[in-house]
Amino acid sequence: MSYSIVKFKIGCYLWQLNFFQNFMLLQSYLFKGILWEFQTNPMVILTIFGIVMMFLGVVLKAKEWLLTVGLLGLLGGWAVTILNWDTHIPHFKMLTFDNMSLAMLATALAFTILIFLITDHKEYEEWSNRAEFYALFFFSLAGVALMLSFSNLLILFIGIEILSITSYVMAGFRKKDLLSNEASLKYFLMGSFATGFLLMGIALIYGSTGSFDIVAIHAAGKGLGNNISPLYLIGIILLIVAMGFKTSVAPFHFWAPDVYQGAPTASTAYMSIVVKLAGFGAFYRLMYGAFQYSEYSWSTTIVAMIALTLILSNLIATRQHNFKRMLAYSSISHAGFMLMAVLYSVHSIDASGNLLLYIVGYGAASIIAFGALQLVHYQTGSDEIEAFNGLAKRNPFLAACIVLAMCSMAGIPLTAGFFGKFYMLQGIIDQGHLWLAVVAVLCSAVSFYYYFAVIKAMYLTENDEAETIALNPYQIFLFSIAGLAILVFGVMPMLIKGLL
Amino acid sequence: MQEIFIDKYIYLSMALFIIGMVGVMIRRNAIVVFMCIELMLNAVNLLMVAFSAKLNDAAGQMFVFFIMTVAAAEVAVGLAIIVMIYRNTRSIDINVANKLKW
Repeated sequence: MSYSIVKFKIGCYLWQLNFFQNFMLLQSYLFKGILWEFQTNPMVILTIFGIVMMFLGVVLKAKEWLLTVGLLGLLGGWAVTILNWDTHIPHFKMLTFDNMSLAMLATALAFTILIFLITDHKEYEEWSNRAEFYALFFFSLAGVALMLSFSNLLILFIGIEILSITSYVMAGFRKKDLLSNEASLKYFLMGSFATGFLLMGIALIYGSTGSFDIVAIHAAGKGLGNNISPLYLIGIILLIVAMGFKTSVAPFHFWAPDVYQGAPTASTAYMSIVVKLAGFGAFYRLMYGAFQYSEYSWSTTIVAMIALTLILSNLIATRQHNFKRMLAYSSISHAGFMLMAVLYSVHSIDASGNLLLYIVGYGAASIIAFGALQLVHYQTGSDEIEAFNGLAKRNPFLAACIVLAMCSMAGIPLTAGFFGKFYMLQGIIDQGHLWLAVVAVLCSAVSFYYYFAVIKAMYLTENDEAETIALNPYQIFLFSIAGLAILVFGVMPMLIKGLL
Repeated sequence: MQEIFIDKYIYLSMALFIIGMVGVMIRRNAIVVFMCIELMLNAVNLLMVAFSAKLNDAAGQMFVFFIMTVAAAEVAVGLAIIVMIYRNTRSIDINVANKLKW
């Protein structure tokens, strides 16, 4: 009797010990797992800082620390991204951080740092909900990380949704401003409409190939060869439509000018640089990674979209008097160029490097344009091109940076934009799309008209009433680093292109 | 197990999807447009489940849970945007959003 009780007690003790040991093992495993994820997945640190930013605003009311903590978080994310270079670590068959996605993510984070510097301005300091604005940037960047590194269509969907839902809010961040409201509503309705197409495309691809994994879809596409089923074809077309909506490629671009014009300038800069980068990163990965072998079924659609995008956006942009809206149309025309990388990705390993180079050049030019617009808008209260009249006298440094940005966007040699366009055209000519390259060059020539209208306003139009614009050290840093990037990569494009 | 006629499900969900799509294009009330978008998403859910049963693969059904979760998040943000517009204009007709054009 007593023996059995003792035995029972010992048994309990041993079981407890065992349980305790198991628990410790489990805990250490979990801890190691979390640490491992923390080191290898930039998304984790971005999400953590998003939550931290929210609490800084809500609980601590630490307004003066917001920007510093935000920049620290971005630098941390950037460090994690860079440290994983060449590791190719897969996460549960869902995410794979290869060099292309890491390079794109590092670029996105670097541009977000510059956008944070744009928000170091009186207009944003007056906002009561500034902490949430920064938190949204972080959550949105977590979505960017997912979109750039997905290896399963589920992650593509979740990444796009995280990015889009935060962007809807960022577009409507000035709650009392009717233009901002309208931008938010239009972006939301068009964005969720596009999500419907994306999901239908994914469902049809799943139905015809039996998997969401892009490696399996790739293999299935290889097996299908030339006799693809209608389900598969409609699925690809719907995916292209959805990605076209997200990256604002014609004929699905109509929401972009309205949204870009109505949103606060920092949100517009974010949408036109980082969201576009993420969209094209995902588009490239999707078409190259999953549908490489069915290229003949979708390349014609992409060619038509590129031609339509370039022609429509450049022609409409010449009619614009509003600088922000002109930049929106210009960003649509750049989307046409970036789409060329998707078109020839299947045949050329250079495509990823070209896409990265193009995005760096375009982003550096855009950040100067939006940063300058922010300052000019705050002083004159107007987004029109006339607001830039006589800027060469009001602030020569700023005017010189804008000239550099406009030259880069137009594609003048010795700027990063020139080499971006040059390699894109080279790529499509190698694929035999000569007429498309001719259209692109002609459209570039048209684009000189509206880019040089800004330079003309700054240098040739006198404006005696306007006062000088003062820059704080952060803004000087912002403009010089972006201008330097344009010049350096305009002379040595291989610094970027050679990475991949 | 009873055989699944997958083509019937495809027709049904395509019909629902197109009804939703047409609804988004022709209706002018923001809430109704929103409901039509939800209809599109639910057409996809139906198709996903049908394919999942047909292929004998659980991934499709798992995807449906994610679609429902994300749709809920989208509803939260979307209704907030519509409420914000209603507060400023006293209307939820999407034609009030006509200040930005060309």
